[in-house]
Amino acid sequence: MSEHALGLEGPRLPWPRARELWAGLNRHNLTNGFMACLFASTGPLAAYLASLQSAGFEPGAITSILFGAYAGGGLASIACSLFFRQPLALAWTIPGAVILGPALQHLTLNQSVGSFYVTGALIALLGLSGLVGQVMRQLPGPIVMGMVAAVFLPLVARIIPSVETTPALALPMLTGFVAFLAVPKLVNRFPPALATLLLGLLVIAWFIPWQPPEPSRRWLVEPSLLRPEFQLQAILEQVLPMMLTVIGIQNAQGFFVLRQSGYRPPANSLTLVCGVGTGLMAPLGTVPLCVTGPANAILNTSGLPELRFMGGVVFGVLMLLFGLFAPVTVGLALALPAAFIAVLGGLAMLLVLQGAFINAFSGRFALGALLSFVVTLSDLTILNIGAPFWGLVFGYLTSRVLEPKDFRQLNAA
Amino acid sequence: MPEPHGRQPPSRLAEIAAGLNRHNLTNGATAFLFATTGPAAIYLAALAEGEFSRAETISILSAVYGIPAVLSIAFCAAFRQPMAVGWTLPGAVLLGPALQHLPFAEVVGACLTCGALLAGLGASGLIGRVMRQLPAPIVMGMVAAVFVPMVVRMVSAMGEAGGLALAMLSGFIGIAVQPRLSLLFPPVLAAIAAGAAFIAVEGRVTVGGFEGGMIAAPAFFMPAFSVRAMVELVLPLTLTVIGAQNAQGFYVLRLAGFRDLQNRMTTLCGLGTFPMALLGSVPLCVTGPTNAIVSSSGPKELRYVGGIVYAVLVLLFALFAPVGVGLALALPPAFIALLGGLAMLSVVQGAFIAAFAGKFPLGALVSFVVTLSGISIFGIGAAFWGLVFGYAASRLLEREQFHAFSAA
Repeated sequence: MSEHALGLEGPRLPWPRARELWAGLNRHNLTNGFMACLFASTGPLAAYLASLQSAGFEPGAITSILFGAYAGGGLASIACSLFFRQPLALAWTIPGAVILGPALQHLTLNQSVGSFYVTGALIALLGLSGLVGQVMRQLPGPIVMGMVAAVFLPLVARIIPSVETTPALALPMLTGFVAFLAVPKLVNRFPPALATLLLGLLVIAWFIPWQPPEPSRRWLVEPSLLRPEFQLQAILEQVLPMMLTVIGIQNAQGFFVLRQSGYRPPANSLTLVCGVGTGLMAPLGTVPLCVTGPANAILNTSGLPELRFMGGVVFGVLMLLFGLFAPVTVGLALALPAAFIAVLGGLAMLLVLQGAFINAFSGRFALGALLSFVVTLSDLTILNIGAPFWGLVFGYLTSRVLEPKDFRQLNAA
Repeated sequence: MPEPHGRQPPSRLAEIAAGLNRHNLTNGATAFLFATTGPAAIYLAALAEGEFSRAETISILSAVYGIPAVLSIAFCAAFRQPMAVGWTLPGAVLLGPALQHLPFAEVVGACLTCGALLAGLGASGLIGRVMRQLPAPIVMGMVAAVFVPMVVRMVSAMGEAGGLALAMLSGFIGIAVQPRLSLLFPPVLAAIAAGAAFIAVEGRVTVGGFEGGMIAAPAFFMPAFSVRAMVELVLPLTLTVIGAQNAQGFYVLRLAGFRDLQNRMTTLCGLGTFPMALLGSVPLCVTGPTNAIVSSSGPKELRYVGGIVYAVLVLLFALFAPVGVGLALALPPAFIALLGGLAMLSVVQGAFIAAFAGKFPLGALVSFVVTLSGISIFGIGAAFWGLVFGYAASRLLEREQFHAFSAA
C-alpha cells in the first residue's frame, strides 16, 4: 500500500481486472453482501425510522432522508472496496441516529444539517491530520475487541428471546444453520447463512401469518434537499458526540474487524472519506457516514480473502438500490417478522463474536479488554456519548495503569 | 518408615505453628476479606427477597460462614494441602428469585436433596468421569456469564456514586499498580479502607445497635419437600456446585500442583450440605477464588496453613455475625457493588481467558450467551442450559477438538 505525504493511504495497485471482478461475484460474496445489506437495512433501519417518526416527518421526507443514508453508504462502499481492494462497508452511523432522535424534539432538521456539515468537516480534518491512524496503532487490539464483543453480544443474544417468542420460525432456522455448519463439505459450497435465510423464508411463506406491506404508489425516491442552518446550540449538542461515535465507536469497530480478518484498513483515508461523505449526504438530512463493524464482519465470514472486496461491492450495490427504491423497500424490510431478522442477524454475527472474544481474551491486555467489555455492556452514557466510547477510554486507562508490561511488549514489537 | 536416629517427626500442631509465616498470614487474611465482603452482600441481598427477621438473617449468615470454616480447617489439616470450602455463590444467586415464590422450608428441602445427590454422585465415582467429559472452556463460559453482571453493576455504581467510586478505585489502583505491594496488601483491602474513609467523612451511615448481643444464636429451619422446589432448585444447585464451583476449585488446585480429590471432595460437600441446609444455608462447595489465593505464595508444603488461617478468621466472622452483618447492612449499596466488582475482576478475567483462549471457543461462547440471557426452561436456570447448549455446540461444531479432547 502506497503511503501519501499526508499519511493518506493510496489505492491498492494494480487495479482489479475485469476477470477478477467477475470471479469475485461468487456465491460467498453474493451471500455475504446480501446478508450484510439485509442486516443494515432492517434492525438499524427500524431505529432510524423510530427517531424520524417521533419527530413527525412525512413519509416522503423520510424516504428522502433514508435515500441519502443508504445510497450514500452504498456508493462509498463500492468506491472504497474497489479503490482499496478489500471489503469495505460504509453506512450511516447508528449512534448518530440515536443522538438525532431526542435532538429533533427541540431542534429543526435544518439545524441538525448544519451540525452534520461541521461534523463532516471535523472528521475530514482528522483524517487529513493522520491522527486517526496513529491513535489506532496505539490502541491495543484486545481493548477494542472487548468493546466490539460487547456491541455485538446483544445482536447474538437476541436469538434466544426469538426462540421463546417464535419457535416455529426460529428453531428451523437454527437447525438449518447448525446442520450446514456441522458438515464441513457443505460449509464451503453453501454458506450456512444462506441456508438459514432460505429456510426462514420458506417457513414464513408457508407457515407464518404474514402481513405484506401496502403497495406504494411510487417506486423511485424523490429526493428533497434541505438548507442548513448553523446554530450554536445544535453544534454544541451534536457535533462532538457524532464525531466521537463515528471515529471512536463505529470506525474503530470496522478497522479492527478488518484487521482481525487479515487486512490493513486505510484508517486515515477512510476517515477522510467518512468526513467528505458526511458533507455530501448532509443536504438530504442524513446522519454522518462511517465504516461499519457488523457489515464488514459479515462480509468477512467466508470466501477467498483476495476476492472478498467484491462482497463489499455487492453490499454497496444493494444498499444503493435499497436507497433508490426506498418507498418500496422500507415497507418491505419492516414487514419481515422480527424473529426472522433477529435470528438471521444473530447467526451471521456468531462467529464474529467468537473471534472478538478470542482476540480480547487471548492473554495480553486481558484486564483492559474486560473493562472495555464491561463498561460498554453497562450502557454508561456521559456527555451524550455512548458507552462503547467510554469502554475504550476506561479499558485503555486500565491497561495503561495496571498492565504496563503488556504495553512495553506492544511498543517493542 | 522409622526414623534412623529415633527422632520424632514434628507433630502436626508444630508444623502448623511453623506455617504461620508472612505468606500464609497475608494470603489467609486476603482470602478472608474476599470471601466475607462481596459474597456476604450477595447472600444478604438474596435473603432480602424472603421474609426473615433480623435474628434469622444473622443466624443464617453465621451458619453460612461458620460450618464451612470448621470444615475447611479439618480438610486443610487432614489433607495437608489447601482445600478451602465455602457456600456456593451461584446457589445464593438462585436463592433470591426462588424466595419470591417459594416458602423457605421448601428451599431447605431442596438443599438437603442436593446434598444427598452430591454425596451419592461423589461416592459413585461419576463426578470424575463426567468432569473429564466436559471441556473446561465450556464451564468457564458459563462462569464468566454468571459473574459478568457483578462487574457491570460496579460500572453502574460508578455512575450513581461518583465520589465513593473515585475513592475506592483510587485505593484499589494505588495498590494494584505496584505488583509487589499488592502481594502484601490486597488492593481490595485498600478499596475497602478508602471507601470506608469516604463514607465516614461523608457521615451518612449510622451503624445500628447490635440487638441480640454480639454472638449469633443458631436458628433451625425445618425442611419441606415439594416437587416444584425440587424441579426448580435441585438440579441447578447440584450442577452449579459441580460444574461452576467445584470445577473452578479443582482446576485451581491442580494448577497449583495439589491433588483435587474430585470424588472424595464431592461426597464431603454433599455431607457438609446437610447441617448447613438445616441452618438455612445453600450447599457447600470447593471454592475457586479462596483456594487460588491461599495457593498463591509461600513454601508449597506449608500452604495449607494459609487455608487454616483463612478458616479461623471466617469462623470468628461467623461467631460475631451480628457485628459483621450490622456493619455490612449499614454500608451503602454502591459500596458493596463496587467492592464485589473489584473483587471479582480477576476471577472474571481468568474465566474469560480460560473460556476463549482454549480449544472450544464456540462452545464457550454459546455457554456464555445462553447463561447471560437468563433464560429458564422447565424451571432450571440459564447456567445449566448454558452448559447443555455449549456442550451440544462443541459436540456438533467443534468435533475435531472434541475427538482430541476425548482421546487425551
